[in-house]
Amino acid sequence: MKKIKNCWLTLLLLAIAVQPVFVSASIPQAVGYLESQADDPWITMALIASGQTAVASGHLRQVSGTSATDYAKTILAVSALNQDPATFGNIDYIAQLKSKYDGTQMGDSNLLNDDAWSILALASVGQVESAQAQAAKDFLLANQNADGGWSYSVGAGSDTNDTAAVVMALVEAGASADSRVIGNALAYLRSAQNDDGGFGYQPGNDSDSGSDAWIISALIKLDIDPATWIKNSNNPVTHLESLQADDGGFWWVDPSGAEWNNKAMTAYAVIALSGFSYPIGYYQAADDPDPIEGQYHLRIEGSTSTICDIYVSATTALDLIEQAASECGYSYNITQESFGPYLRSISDDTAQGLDGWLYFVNNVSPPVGAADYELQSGDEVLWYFGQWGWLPTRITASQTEINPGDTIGLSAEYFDGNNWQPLSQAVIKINNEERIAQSNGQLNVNIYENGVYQVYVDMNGYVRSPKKTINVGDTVNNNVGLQVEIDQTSGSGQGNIGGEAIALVVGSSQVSFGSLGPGESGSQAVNLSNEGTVQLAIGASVSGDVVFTQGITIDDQFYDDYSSSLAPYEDHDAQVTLTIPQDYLASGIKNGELIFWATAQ
Amino acid sequence: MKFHRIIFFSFLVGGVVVASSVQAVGLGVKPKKLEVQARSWQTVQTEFLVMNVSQEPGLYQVYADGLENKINFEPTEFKLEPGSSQVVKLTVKSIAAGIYSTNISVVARPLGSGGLISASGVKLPLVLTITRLDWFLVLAFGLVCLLVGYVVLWILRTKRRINNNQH
Repeated sequence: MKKIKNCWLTLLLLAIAVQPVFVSASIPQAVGYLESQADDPWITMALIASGQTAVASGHLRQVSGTSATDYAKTILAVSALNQDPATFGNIDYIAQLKSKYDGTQMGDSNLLNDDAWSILALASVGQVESAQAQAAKDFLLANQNADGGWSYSVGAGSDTNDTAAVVMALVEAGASADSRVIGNALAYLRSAQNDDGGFGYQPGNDSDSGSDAWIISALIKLDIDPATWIKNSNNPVTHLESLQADDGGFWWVDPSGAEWNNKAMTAYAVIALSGFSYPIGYYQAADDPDPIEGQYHLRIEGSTSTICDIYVSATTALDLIEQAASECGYSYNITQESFGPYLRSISDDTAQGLDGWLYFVNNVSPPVGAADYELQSGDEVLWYFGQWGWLPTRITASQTEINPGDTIGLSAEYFDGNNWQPLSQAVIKINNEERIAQSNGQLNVNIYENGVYQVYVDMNGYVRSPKKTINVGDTVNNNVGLQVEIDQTSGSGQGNIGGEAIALVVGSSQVSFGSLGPGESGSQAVNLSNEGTVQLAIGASVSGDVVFTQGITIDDQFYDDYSSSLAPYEDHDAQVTLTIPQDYLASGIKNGELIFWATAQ
Repeated sequence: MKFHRIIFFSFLVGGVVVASSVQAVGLGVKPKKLEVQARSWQTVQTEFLVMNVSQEPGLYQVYADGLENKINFEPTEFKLEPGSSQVVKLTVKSIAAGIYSTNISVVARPLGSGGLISASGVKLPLVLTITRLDWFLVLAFGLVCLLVGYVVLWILRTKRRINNNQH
């Protein structure tokens, strides 16, 4: 645990040390831009990296992903908030990520970027030594291209973005900055640097803010000052700064010559220019006292479930309730009574009769009211809805990772004010199934099915215990019990968005005609594939240089007149042809964009 | 050789890279059509899902072909890793009664910039059916407000009269 803490401190110190290099970019303005955008994990990380403290996190509580990267980025953001990704959301994100392990690598076996982000996510929760992270590391090492770089997928050409991500992941997984693998990767990145000091997605591409940002973060990871990577008197930092717009956002590419532009890379730019690499932060488990100065552990046990379990800054035990409300998403009511402030309700649990809200600090009931209890370093506060005299409980497990069919020993205990004592006949819940412990509080159980199990004590007259997660099986492939993951790609998926999907894949991201002179033609086949379940009508549009808008034909039709139809799962090679007019006088590289449009028929 | 009349349409290095790797940018959008019903001058929200169905990360953009001043999206631009998805929230601001039809354009572009980029796009039909406010209900609501106001006024006057009598 100390190692993680040291890593965290080292990262912060490094950030502070590097930060003066990047003074000319307006991070506060960029923060304003990001705060005006829809929340996502990258924006959360960027706001934390920029030093913001009251960062919205509600969007991280209901994540239902389909890919390893969906969970990896969520874990990275939750860790950056110094919250536990296993308990922060509606499901255990770490278990979900680990469930993407197929025994040799993480996620899609055709992809490499999900392995890099899985390593970084697992590193952020202190699990870089896990079988999943180490397998992902081996998979990445086995798929380094001859040029020293990596691609997003197996067998594809290297790109700077994924190379930078893999470098950060390998360093987290133990690779030395001086190793040959990292040296070759740096040589690849160096070869991709443009004369403006920036980087494009691949060598020869225009410099863009996303590529600059990834490479700056990778260099920071390696303790290399990005400003020393100079080409033609420019460096990636100055190039990235040059892309900042008046509203604080960062343009993707130089707006003066762009056919199309956007500011979707702003979060990555803020992270890089704030002097951060990935992970932004490392989650410190609750058993590490006083993780961040001024923050205290708060757990709220409601009548039917755990309402909150986080670290939060506050001054008194009652203040914790107010400070954690937005982050944990509950409402509360504190009334002023003759004896002082009184916590009347949290969410639907309202004081009535003998039932009310009571609190413990370090499992002991303090002799003063919550508003008068001033928090001390290392305090852990437990609020529960119940009756006076109920005692706190805890559960311990002989193992937290077992094979199907193995026996696991669980021990239920309560705190008598001085010591932990066995809880006789304790009701232990294993997900939604109740078991009764023996008179010594012990329960031995065999779990036969792979999965993630949450065990805890929940019995009348005692405060519900913290949950302990038990992983069963090498490959944790599902969550069981009350937790359900919603599949967003089928049925009524994410956000209850149902119905059929329109899906089109264009098989080439760049159309290359080579070198052409006036009167000459060049053509390239572009594969169009209907990946959805509905019949598609296909059309096309072209924008950019006049040579494209006047000279492109598709399947011998002028692009504006082009139309075709694709049945579900059908594909078609569209022949894209460019003819240069005889009287065309200009020369040089021309930019343009060809969009194939799909509409459901 | 008339060098100045020679035109290069792609990067040499980029061309080699493209040729040696299978790059495809794609997108999926669900549902295939959006139909929104609301009363006039009411703000209404709906959402749709944008998915990266290809094996390449891409940059995604969302915009409306028409009614640009009345329709907002959140987010409008984002990056998606392969297999990832993004829920886009669509808000239609107050609008007069009528039936409106336009397309929502969703474009997926590759991360590499320069040369002739080929991108995938989906046109998602949007039909807005905006019905008039029910004037009978408005009138009824107004009458209820008047009645409540009258009762409140009567109570206040009665209280004042009682107070005056006590003093």
